[in-house]
Amino acid sequence: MLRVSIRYKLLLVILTLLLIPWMGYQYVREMKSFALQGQEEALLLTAGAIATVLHDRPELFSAESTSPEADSNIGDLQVMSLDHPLTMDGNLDDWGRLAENAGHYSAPKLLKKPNDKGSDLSFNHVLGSWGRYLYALFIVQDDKVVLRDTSYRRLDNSDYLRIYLRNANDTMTRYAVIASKTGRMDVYLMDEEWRYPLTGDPIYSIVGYFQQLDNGYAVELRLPRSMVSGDARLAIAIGDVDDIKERKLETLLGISASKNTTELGKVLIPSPEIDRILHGLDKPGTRIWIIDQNKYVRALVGDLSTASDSARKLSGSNMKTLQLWMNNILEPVFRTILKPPADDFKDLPDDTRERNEAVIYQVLEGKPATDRRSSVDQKAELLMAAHPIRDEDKITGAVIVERSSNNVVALQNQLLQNLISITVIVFALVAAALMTFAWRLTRRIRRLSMASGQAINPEGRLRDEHDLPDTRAGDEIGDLSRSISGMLLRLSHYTSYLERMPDTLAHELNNPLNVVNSSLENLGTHHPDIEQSKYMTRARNGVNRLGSLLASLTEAGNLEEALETEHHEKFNLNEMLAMFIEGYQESHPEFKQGFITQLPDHQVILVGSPDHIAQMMDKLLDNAMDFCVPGQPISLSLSVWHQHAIIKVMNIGKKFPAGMQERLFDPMISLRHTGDSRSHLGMGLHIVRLIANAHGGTVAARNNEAGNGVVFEIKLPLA
Amino acid sequence: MSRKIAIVEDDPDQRENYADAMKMHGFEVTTYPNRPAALKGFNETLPDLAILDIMLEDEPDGGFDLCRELRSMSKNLPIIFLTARDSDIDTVSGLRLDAWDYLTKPVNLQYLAVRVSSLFRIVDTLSARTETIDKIYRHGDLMVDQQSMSIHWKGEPLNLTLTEYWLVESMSRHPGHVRTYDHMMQVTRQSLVEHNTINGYIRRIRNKFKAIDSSFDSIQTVFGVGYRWKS
Repeated sequence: MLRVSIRYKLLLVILTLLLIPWMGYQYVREMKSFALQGQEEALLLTAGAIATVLHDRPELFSAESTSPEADSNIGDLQVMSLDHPLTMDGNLDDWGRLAENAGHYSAPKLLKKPNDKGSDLSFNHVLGSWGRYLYALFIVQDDKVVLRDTSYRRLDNSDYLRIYLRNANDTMTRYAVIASKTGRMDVYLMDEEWRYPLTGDPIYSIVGYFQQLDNGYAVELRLPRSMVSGDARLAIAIGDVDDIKERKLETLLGISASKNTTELGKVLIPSPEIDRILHGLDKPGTRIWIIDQNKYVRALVGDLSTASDSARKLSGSNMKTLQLWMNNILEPVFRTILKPPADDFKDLPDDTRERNEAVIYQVLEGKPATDRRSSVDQKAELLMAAHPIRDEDKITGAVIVERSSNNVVALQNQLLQNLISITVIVFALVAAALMTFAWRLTRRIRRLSMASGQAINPEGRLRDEHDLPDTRAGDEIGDLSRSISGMLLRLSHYTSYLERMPDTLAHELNNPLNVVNSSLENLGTHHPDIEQSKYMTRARNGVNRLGSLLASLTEAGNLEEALETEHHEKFNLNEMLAMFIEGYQESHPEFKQGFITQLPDHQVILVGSPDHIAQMMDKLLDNAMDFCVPGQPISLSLSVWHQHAIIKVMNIGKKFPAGMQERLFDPMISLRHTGDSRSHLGMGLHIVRLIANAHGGTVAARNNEAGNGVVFEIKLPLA
Repeated sequence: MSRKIAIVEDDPDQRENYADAMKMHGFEVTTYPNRPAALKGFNETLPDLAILDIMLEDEPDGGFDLCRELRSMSKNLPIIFLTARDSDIDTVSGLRLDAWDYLTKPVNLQYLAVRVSSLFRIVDTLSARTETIDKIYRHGDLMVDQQSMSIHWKGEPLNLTLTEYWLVESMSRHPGHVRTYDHMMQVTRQSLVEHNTINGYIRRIRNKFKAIDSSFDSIQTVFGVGYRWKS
């Protein structure tokens, strides 16, 4: 049978506690999807709100009112929004960081290829707008700066700037900005060939300032915004002349791809209106797109990757110390099983348009839409909501709001961490409590079972005193202990009653027997003729047999009392046994086959009562003789083993029936046939055991190895 | 003048049987069923010999108490206890009740009469104070006076009961010869005697000798057979 202790069973039960984190995980997952849905709705609301603001305002989508970051056709000029006006004074400091970043905006296009020598011309430029003006800064690298020689009427024979301007009426206007010295530059309206000014009058609405630098020069330029309003197109190019003698235009570098006016770029000036509206809505971690009907991005604010930290701090702030401590311990575990939200994911606007196609398509159909997608680098999941912008019945554009799900993921992770920590703590506490409980319980049960097992000694007799544990405990084990205790008490009462019974019985029978006996005697004395009668003899015999039965009944009881008071002396068991066998043989001359004795040749010193040992041997030999096959000798041996004297009495004869060996030594157990003429009450072997036990020894009976007889073995401790 | 015997026994059948038997032997018998009645009778007339049952009605040790009271009335009054078990004999010894003999039940009336006669003889001898040399024999330090049924060891008298005297006398008459249990049983003049009862007698006898002489070892055990007096 498989033995599983209560302790392990309880441990198995405790394992069911591990369902708690699983349950928590399911719950957190539910919550995550709920939170994502909530966030989507929030985004949709935001998108709707923004869209509402932008409803019915077609002017917002006019050509120039677009964001600098908006996508541009080739040649479109992107204009930076400035926060202060600039002065045309040669001091570039007020351009600030814009000037340093000028390179970012450089995309010079060669309009006129240089001849064989190769060009030494390159420039950086930046465009900005503030108030009514449009500003431009050109930093030109040119190894030979050729200034205007005012003696020439032609204006294309020095380094200069071309401005191409085409207004909404498709009328082309050309301005040359030219410097004859450091300082304010001259501006002229030019002919189609860029050779001569149309009029000799300089244009004052355009202001340029020239200053020479180490490896070239810098030009600051200011144009009124009105010049590029509406659908006007603009292009700027740098003309380079290197040979001061020849004064031939060698290279023409433009910021627009072509000198063809039809391909002049739009001037994309940020719309203060949309910016103002959007910046008010700008939230960390949120990106808002405004697109027009043609899916052109007209405005874009915000950055996706700033939100997660704050979310995490927030949820960590109200944690318990123990839990925090546990969180720290489990940190490596969390790192492996939980994917932390990626703070550094990249989702640049350039790459996203295609991914948002479905949403954009849907929203431009007039339906608000939401979607989820991975960031470009697959590190984070993004949520987006789109809402159409209407102008009366027409859809003029759409608002798309994007947000990463990082804070939701972070929240989920935090919840999972907390849950796992709490579970670990609770699990440990519950497990410890249950294990302690189980340990106590099993210990108590074991103690009880040991104590109740020990209540009966190896000889199968009930011990006099049994001290069971937990008899005062108020629980079921206490009940069990009490009931076992009560049971043992009743059993011991019963056992002692049974053991006393022969003695009591004998005493009770003794008096009537004595009456019969004395009456018979008196009868015989009074009537001598009756004395001789055979019936008188039989009556006497019967009385004598009754008397000897009663005597043997009381013998055990008397013996027990005698053994308690007996004075113990040291004696040589070896010598005593030899003497005993000799005497026994003498007193039983009818047992002719005799005894085979095997005694050691050294002394075997015992402390005890030799009379009682002799009585014990007497009973053993009587027993052996009664069961011995006629003609077979009885063997008796003495040996010393482990500080014990071992006496063995063997006889050839009937084997013990199974299970009788233990009970043989109980009082009134006899294997003799009932027809036996002698009176036997089965007290002999009981007396053997009493004497052996009184000497601290044990007695056992078994069938011999050959299977043709029995062996009685007495084990007595040596002195 | 016939001897007066008091019999104290709570069982009427047994009591009357004892009384009948004693009367048959020519003794004058008074019977009492319990201790108070016996005590009352003793106060009126003291018997010459008392036979006491130990358990008297509701008093388990009534016989012992009665013995004590009798002893306080007369120092030399012979008392025979009727006992049911050997351990009672030890108890009597332990209580130093100075009983003259014990008889275990079932009582053989023949033996009882022998005992009573023997005890009266002892009483007579003691009162007569006559030395009857021919009835005395010695063996080593042992002196046995068959007339007064008394034993001396190294000149000192032993306080033996009648049964004990018979046993010592039986063993010492044939020193070196084993007295078997069967033989000794007859010597005790009791109806039923177990080996253990004999062993108990011998133990008590040895103890009485050892009280005088701690090196006493003249009674030898022949295990499984009996005892013998060392020659």
